[in-house]
Amino acid sequence: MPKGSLTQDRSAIQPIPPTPAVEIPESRGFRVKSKVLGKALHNDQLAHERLGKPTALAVFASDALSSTAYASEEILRTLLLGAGAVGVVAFSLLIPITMALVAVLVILIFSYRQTIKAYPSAGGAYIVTKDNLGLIPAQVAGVALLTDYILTVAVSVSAGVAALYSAFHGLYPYRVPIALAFIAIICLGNLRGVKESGKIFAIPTYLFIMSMFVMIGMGIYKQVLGGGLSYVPPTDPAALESTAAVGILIVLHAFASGGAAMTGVEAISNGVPAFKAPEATNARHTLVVMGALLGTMFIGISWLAATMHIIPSDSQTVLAQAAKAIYGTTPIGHALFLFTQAATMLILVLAANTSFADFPRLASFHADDAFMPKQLTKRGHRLVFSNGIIALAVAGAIPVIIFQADVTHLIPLYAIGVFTSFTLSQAGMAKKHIKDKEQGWRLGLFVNGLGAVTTGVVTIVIGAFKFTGGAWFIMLLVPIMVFLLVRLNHAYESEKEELEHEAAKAAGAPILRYHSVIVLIERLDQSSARAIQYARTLTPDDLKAVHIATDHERAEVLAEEWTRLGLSRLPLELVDCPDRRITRAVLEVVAEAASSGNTEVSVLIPRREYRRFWHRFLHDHTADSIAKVLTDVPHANVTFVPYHLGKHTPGAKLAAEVLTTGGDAVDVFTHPGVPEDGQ
Amino acid sequence: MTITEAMSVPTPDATDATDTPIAIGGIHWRQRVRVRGKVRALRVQPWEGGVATLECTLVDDTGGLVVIFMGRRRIGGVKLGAAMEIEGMVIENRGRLAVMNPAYTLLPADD
Repeated sequence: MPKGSLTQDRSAIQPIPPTPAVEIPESRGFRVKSKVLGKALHNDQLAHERLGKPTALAVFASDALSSTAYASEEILRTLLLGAGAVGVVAFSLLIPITMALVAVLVILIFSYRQTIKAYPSAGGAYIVTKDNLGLIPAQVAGVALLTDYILTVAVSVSAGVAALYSAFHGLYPYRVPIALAFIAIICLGNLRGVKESGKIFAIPTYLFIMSMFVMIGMGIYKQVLGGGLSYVPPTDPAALESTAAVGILIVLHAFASGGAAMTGVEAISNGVPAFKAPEATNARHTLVVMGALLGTMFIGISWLAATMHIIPSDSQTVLAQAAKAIYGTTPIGHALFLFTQAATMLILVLAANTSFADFPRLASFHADDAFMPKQLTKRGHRLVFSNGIIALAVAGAIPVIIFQADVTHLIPLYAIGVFTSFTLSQAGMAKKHIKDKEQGWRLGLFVNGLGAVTTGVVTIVIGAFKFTGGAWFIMLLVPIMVFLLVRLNHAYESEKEELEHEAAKAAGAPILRYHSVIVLIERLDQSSARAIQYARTLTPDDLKAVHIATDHERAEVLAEEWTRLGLSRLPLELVDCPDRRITRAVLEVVAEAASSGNTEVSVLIPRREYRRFWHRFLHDHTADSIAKVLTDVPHANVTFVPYHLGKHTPGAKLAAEVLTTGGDAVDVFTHPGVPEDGQ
Repeated sequence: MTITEAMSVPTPDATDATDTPIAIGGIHWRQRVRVRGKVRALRVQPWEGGVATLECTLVDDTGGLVVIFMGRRRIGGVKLGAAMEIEGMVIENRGRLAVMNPAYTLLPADD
């Protein structure tokens, strides 16, 4: 270009604002996402909503409290319907077993009070274990907890559906689709970012607490003043006739089944930062209140079941039978019964929601430490860990489908994970007391030591007695998962090490001497022209167009056209490809170009951008597969040169506007005679 | 030693047989060779200075070399997949082994 025109051009340039001159359109996917999930949130909108004690109780306790809806039932099921069923004696065993579980609960509550004191900022099992016992035990605790979160979704939703079909028997055949629909709704809600926002949680939780206390209160009233509770009509009279001797084994088995009541106790210790100041104190008070409520309701329901000789059945939960018997068949009684069932269903579904808050967060801890795929650390559209939420929804749906939303079949898998993580985190706390020797550490050591031993024993009991029922699967799954996570971690670490090793030095390393540019040409058209135009801006040492000839006649036509248009200034290479393996032929050409070891090869691939997404299916994806294989060649670099088909694509509009506002592009075809060396 | 004797002393190149074709993979720089192969790639491009040049890559199972015909834009019969035998001196062109303006014989395609 002559010098004169350059200065003239410069004077003609008007300053333009540093923002894009044209509106860059949003993609279709983003627009759909914004409709479904709501407006995308910015980082600084990450709300740190603080919860008062009553709301916090509702938010964090729904998981723990909801387990009372099925814990007593599962104990009874083991005693009455399992192998070695003991018959009517079961009802006198129910209360002692419940009391034993409540004792474990009390120990746990006191242990977790210590944890909250020591870890006022999120002291989940993972963090506590990682801090005190190391990364690998933390993976065990984390994975155990993650599997239990998955099962919490499955169990809670299935139990919620059970509450529903206990009231409306006609829904029983549709329990699996209903359960899956619940999971989908909760998943969607969480993707929108239903924060641990109080009101949604508070109402069902308190409704459930109220309904349980009303029912237990009515039960006590009838028993003491109303002439005593009568037995409910047995749904399965045969279950009462067994007279097998009561052995320690069946009692322990029943105890293991009831262990499910303890899941969710750790939720408060995970969420301490969500409390209003003083966080730790409020969290500890809330924990105690939750423990008291859970214990009372658990004992109350067990007492009702034992007094009224309720036999678990497939079509009606124990809770539903109790409510029906206590409230009677009057219209008011029936309304109260429906109210109880509705409250139960709601809290169970909410309990699944607790998992949706905890699982993604725990998974992101794992991923932060490079033990899980990094995608889990990414916050999505609405600032929630979207990938974790979707992963949990999918993982939770699988057991629901496999076990047909049957709580009884899910229970044996359940609780072992939670108790494993209890044990590890309590052991971690005990070690911390020994290490730190803070004020009052002896008491702390006693409490957490007792907690560790108790939960350890319970873990073993659960593992042993639920082993054949399905716990073996979890006991197999957790070590395999931990092994895989450790392998994943090694992969991440070695990758990181390689990438970071002398990175600064590598950035300053001498560059390769030669730059060779290869433009892949299929035919002479606008998209190839764009690529050639771009290639000429690169001023390489060697520039050539390459045509892979699968059809010799077409290749010759192209070569003739090439010469006729004066394009022979740019060498065109026809490469024979008799076996029609285009990607292979390109790979060979590029590998040859890079083989001298001192050449950086840029491969330019013209690519058509389509007007409508279905247009893509009209063409194959040779360009993409070529790019994929070329990544294997060192110092081969691929650039796609887009050509926007049609005038109405967002890209074409954008390109047109850029051209009219600032571009001074010279089309290679309209100016074929303009050589780059300035003749 | 007479001049005639000195003249008859074989040069290193003279030991290379040029009457029977050798494998392309076995050729060396500055060696006179006779090789057979198929045209793998064809290249139409200007020579520096504006002389039209036809370049092709001749390959057999053992390797390949560049064959350059100067002053020609096309040669009848020299096309993709064509089999031919060439004889000439191996030189270097842009870092690759090459033969310039060789004597060539087109061979039947089924060879």
